[in-house]
Amino acid sequence: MVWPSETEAVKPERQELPAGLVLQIDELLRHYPNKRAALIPALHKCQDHFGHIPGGVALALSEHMGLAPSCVADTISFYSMLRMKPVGKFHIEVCQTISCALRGADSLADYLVMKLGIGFGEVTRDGKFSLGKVECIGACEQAPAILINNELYGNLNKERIEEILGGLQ
Amino acid sequence: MEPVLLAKRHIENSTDINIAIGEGAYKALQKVLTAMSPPQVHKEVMDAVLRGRGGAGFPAGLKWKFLDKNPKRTRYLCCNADESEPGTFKDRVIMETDPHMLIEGMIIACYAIDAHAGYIFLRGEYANSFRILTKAIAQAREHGFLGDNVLGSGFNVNIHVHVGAGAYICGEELAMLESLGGARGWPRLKPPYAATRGLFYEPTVVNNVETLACVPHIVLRGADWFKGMGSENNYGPKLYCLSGHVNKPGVYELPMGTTLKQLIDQSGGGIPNGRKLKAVLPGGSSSAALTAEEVDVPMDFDSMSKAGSMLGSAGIIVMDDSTCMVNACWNVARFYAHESCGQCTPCREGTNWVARILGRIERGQGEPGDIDMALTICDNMLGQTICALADGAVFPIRSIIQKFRAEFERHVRDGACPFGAKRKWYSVLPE
Ligand SMILES: Cc1cc2nc3c(=O)[nH]c(=O)nc-3n(C[C@H](O)[C@H](O)[C@H](O)COP(=O)(O)O)c2cc1C
Ligand code: SF4
Ligand code: FES
Repeated sequence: MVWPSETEAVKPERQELPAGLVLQIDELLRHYPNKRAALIPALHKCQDHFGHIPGGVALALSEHMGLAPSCVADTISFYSMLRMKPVGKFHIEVCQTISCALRGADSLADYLVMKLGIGFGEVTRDGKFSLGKVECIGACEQAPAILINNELYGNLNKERIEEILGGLQ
Repeated sequence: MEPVLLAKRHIENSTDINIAIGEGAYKALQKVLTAMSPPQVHKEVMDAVLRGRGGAGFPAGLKWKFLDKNPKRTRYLCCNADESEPGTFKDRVIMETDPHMLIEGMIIACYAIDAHAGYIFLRGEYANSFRILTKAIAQAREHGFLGDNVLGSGFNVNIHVHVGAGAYICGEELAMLESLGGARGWPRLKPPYAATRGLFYEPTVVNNVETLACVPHIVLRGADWFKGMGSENNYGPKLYCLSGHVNKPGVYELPMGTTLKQLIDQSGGGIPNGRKLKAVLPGGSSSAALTAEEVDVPMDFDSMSKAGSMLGSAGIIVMDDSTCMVNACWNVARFYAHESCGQCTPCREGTNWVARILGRIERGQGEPGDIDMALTICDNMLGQTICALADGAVFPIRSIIQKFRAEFERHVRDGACPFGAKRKWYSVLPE
């Protein structure tokens, strides 16, 4: 888990939610008997739209959903997929858990660090790539596996990753 | 064996409802709605002794029986599709190849327990499963299997897919229900159980994907058919996930109780590169490790617990003789330290301390008392916490240390990892 002190506090500058996003969020509400239950799916929608969840958006969302800002911040802080800091256009997450580790996740990680010239938790200067780590993504039969913008790529070796990176525009 | 849960795996477009119906999908639902009462459905599942495939092996029929049946309350069914146990990927294969089997199982389960809404708690990393499930649900609705007055029977039911946001702990059922409510995934102290105070504080049944996927088959072919596979109290077809050092990693469907040895040697095609088997985590990373000498054991709930481990999620993680057990143990420990929700001191502190001690031993900086200290910390975690995550950390860590102690001692004595000085994964991790 991430402790609240490590995440950015919800900033007071409220950022307007685009109308299309509001429509999507209101559609989500239909699936639940109360508004709070739709919070995590709504946060996913915000992240899909902005690439991350800016503090001002979290604040606007809390108002829109009738929740305390602290309640929204609390939920964001707990989940590893939700982030308040921007990432690259292509966010690469390497699985570091046991089945992938047994099949060369460490060399894959080393290779990505070298190839992109950034460390884990960093973004390339042109904003194109960022690197992160994930725990078992349920693709252990395709180890070593990674997610790029939450899409799965498995059975990786140097050639495959080279090819995949080259195809990302 | 004739595949049951994976019967549609190699059929093209098996996720499309028309193809699925051609292969027999929703036949069980038609049977249920035209010829069976909810108690009859319940009895069939009870008689089949369908034990939960999520890890604990609790009989689904009993779980349904304990549900608060007060007509004034709203009951819910939750399908646990969080599948975050390292080494486990069977639920993903079900959802990606046969979503209609799961949906049908959920509709029938809702009918049996008098619930009118089901939620699939799907882990956020399963983007492909999400697309397939949402399309399948829309198609099922168009065909009149979901919504009001299902197939003219007067029964109403809806199924929603809820996408999680990355947290292993949300697989624990009460954490999952908290998370579905929009809060942080903190397990609740039990009792009260979900049967009386579950989702939105209403009576709730939580079942795993594979458990629910068995339901249509039991209803259609009968409890006796189900009990034709496996041994006493451990029946039915079972999905086994093989990963790590095997020639053919993947999901295999075999009768419950197939031996671990057979799974590794025959299904998995043995160990690659002429190497030898060293250790196995047989039921996901939360299960106690077995050594190469201990693998001739039936993979069912009771035999595995007799062997000192557990069937768990049937995620079989295979390690060959090139594996450094200290590194493997450290990796597992690190996972639990990362995933502890932080509510209970023994778990929050214990998992972190053990992970650090093991990391230091692996780097060659271990001190003489370290191995015993790690074991003592394990003893102080076991059974002392709100949920079973801490126990799930202790089982693999303690068993690996006990069964491969000489390797740990060698790391400490030599001040180095005997498996080579190659830059290891931990070098890119924060300490
Ligand atoms: C830490 C922890 C993680 C769990 N993760 C999962 C999971 O990912 N999927 C799952 O089905 N059950 C998981 N479980 C078990 C559930 O709590 C619950 O027992 C199960 O979903 C019930 O379904 P079943 O009776 O059909 O097996 C987990 C339990 C614990 C303690
Ligand atoms: S045992 Fe660990 S994960 Fe479970 S509730 Fe306690 S702190 Fe959280
Ligand atoms: S360990 Fe990497 S996908 Fe499971």
